[in-house]
Amino acid sequence: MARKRKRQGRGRRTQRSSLLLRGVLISAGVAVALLAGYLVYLDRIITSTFEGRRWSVPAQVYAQPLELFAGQRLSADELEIELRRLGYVPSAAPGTPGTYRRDGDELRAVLRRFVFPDAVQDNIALRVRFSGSRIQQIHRGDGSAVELVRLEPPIIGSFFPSHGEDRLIVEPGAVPDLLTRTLIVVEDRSFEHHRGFDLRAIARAFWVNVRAGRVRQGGSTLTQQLVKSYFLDSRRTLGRKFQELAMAVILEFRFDKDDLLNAYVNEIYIGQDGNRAVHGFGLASQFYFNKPLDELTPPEVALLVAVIRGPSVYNPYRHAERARARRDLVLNLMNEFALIDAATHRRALAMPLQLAQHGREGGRYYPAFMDLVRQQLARDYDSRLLASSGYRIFTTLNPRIQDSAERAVVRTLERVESLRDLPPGELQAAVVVASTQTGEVQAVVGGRRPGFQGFNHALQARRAIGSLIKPVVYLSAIEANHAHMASIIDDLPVELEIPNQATWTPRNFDLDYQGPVPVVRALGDSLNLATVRLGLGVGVENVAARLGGLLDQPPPPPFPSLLLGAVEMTPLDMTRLYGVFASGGFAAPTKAIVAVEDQAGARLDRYPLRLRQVASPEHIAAVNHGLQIVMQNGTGKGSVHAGGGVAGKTGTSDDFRDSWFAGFDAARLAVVWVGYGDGRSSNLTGSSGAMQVWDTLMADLTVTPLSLTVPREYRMVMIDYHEGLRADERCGVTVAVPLPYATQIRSKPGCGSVIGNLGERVRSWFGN
Amino acid sequence: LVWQLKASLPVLLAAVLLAGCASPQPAPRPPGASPLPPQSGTESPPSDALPAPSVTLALRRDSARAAAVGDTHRAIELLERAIRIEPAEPQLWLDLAHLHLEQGSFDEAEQFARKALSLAGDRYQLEQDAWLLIDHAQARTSDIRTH
Repeated sequence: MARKRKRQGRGRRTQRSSLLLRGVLISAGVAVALLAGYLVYLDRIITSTFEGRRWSVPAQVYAQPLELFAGQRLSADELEIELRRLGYVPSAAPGTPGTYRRDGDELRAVLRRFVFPDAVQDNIALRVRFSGSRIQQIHRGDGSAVELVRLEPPIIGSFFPSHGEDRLIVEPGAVPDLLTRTLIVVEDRSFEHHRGFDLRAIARAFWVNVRAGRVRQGGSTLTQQLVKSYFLDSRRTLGRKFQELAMAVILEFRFDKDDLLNAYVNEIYIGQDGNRAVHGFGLASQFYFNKPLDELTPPEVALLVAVIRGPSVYNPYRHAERARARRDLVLNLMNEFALIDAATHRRALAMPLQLAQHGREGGRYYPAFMDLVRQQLARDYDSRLLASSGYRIFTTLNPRIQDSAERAVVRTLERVESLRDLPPGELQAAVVVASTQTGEVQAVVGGRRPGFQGFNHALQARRAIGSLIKPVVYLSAIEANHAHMASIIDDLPVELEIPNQATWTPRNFDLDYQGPVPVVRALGDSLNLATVRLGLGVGVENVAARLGGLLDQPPPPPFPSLLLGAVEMTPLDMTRLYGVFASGGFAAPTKAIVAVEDQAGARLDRYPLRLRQVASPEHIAAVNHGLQIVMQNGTGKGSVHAGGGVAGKTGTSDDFRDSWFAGFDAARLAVVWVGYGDGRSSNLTGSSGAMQVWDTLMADLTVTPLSLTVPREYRMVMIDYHEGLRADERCGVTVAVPLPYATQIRSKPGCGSVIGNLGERVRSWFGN
Repeated sequence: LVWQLKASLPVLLAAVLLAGCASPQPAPRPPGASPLPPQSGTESPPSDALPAPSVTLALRRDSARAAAVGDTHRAIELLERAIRIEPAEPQLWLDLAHLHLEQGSFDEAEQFARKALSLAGDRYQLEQDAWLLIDHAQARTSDIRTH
């Protein structure tokens, strides 16, 4: 350019003006390029955000569905509770899904469609007849009999990400027409026609704001609101406004109205629940009304549309009056624009808000159980994936049992504290409930405030297990042919020299000793000295190896104190251990997940039943008879279920730091721990603490008595509980124990079996 | 011979189940295959805690159909659902053992058969079926080890 200037010396003025023109042109070009670049940049951001968000849904976690069939032990009241848990509403004539009607012993309901991992169950109208506490018959609406049907499983939580956005996607087809039309009428009347912004609305808002002297009304279209919601920035600066506007125009250019509206329905922020932000109408419908979006009534639709204007200002839980006033405003608009007729309008205005009641915060309905789910998922899935994949996770949680377990913990701890003069509110507890035959975990309580996230004692608290170990000592002895239930062992003081340590002198609980006792009583009364002697006879290494084997983990170090449970484990570990006894000799993982599906319903993973025989049914049966006697005659005899055919074991660790109870009936195993979080003494024994919780829980669940079999090559023999001699119930406290056929047992003097048999025979002659 | 038997199990099982619905004659039963009790839709609910056998029977039938068309996963899911309803019924565990055997999970098959045995009580025939299945599963396991 310099060369050019030199050559053409004349016309500086022209030159200057052409230079200026050029400058202007260049800067204009640069500006246009910059703007274009900026728009391309905005386009990239907004398009990728839009596309990305469309499917970013936290994984939903479901409980076990309730099975309904004739003969099922379920009362009409219980079924009604389950339906209400799922948000079913009473109706004079149930005709649409999600409605029911109860008439005494009969309950009619229209079940919602649900896609189970193994089958699709369509809407189905049912008539269920009850007889007392059981289902008698189930019929379809048309009168045909139904053999087996499931309620849809309740959602028990979701893996929303750490920034807290939770949502439930609704497909365009599932969005009620009334909702979209109300949204348009209330928020953006020219939505169908505008190109992302609405000049008239902006002008109107401007006028209102100028007159009010402050910002009172926004002229945002639904598209602009959508953009705003993506970037969570409510600053109303001019730059922001422009960016928002540009993005809205780009979105309108790129996507059609239906897509935008559906994105809005799923995206918009609509409530706060602890640290969980409720986004989208799908989740909002569940959150505020506990039912699916397509079952909402006009006043409910109106409330949701009212709330989006300001989820905290119009929070219907906190500001019911204000929220209701705005709902009514929305209802008036619905009527004015003929979305609802006058009669519906009148009825709707008269309706109270009828919000779902939340006992819990943050969508964490069952945090302790969810920890277990998370733990098991973490092996296979990345946490970011769980927060955004929209997976459906089917679990083994039984909400009825979970609720019973939580109630049992809360009530019993209060009772125990006041009864024993302990400082109120400080005791902690943990409960794990599992199915005896499958090992599937049905309930987990991690502490005394079950609805709140906190230290999970059920999964994380490793505490000394105390006498809970004893069945392993007795099993080892029986397996080694070292003892049977009537063998006599000495409950006498023990002194053990341990290299490089002080002499170990274990004591009985009552500091006394009982002399020679039968094995069944040593187990029943949880006698420490007899157990130590038996365990030393079998070999501590063998007991340690057995414990490791039953738990499928490395054996603990074989210190003699192991025989009295000086080893720390969690309530979940104890559930696995006692699962071996409850299932008749099979080890099963404490499983919480059944299946994982992706958003399209394709099966990603199954977690099938697994078990492994780890002990012979005969030996386990022998110990289980002993555990039943624990309840009938031993440390568990104070239980309200002592005579109900249950088996169990109490455990108390040194200085009363831990109170344990593990017990089972035919259907369920429940392990309970009670103690203080900091490990100080509570002065509670296994039976005065943990067993009380267990008792309350099992009373709520109805006990199914065990039917323990007599192992082959064994016979049941009545013996005296204290002395171990053959006896019958007329000459002392007797118990029936399984003994190997060849076993010879002396009869209690004056109480011989021959006489007993003769006596029975004589009685039977007269009796018939 | 053993190999042939395994290959035909799903087909035979399905045949038995489907034939059982259609014909009054008992179909010939392959060794180890699980017989279904006769269908009786008119049964009244029992007075004790057990569900009517027809409840899990329907699931067993669906499971056998799924297995017959090769959908073993679904067949297993259906049986597991039945087991949740009636966990102490040994026949369900034995059916599950069969499915795992067909899938080639011999170890699982053996364990589930042992579970069935532990619950068999005095059901002699079921016990025999379970033992036979355990024999087959062990034979297949050692086949794999030696080859």
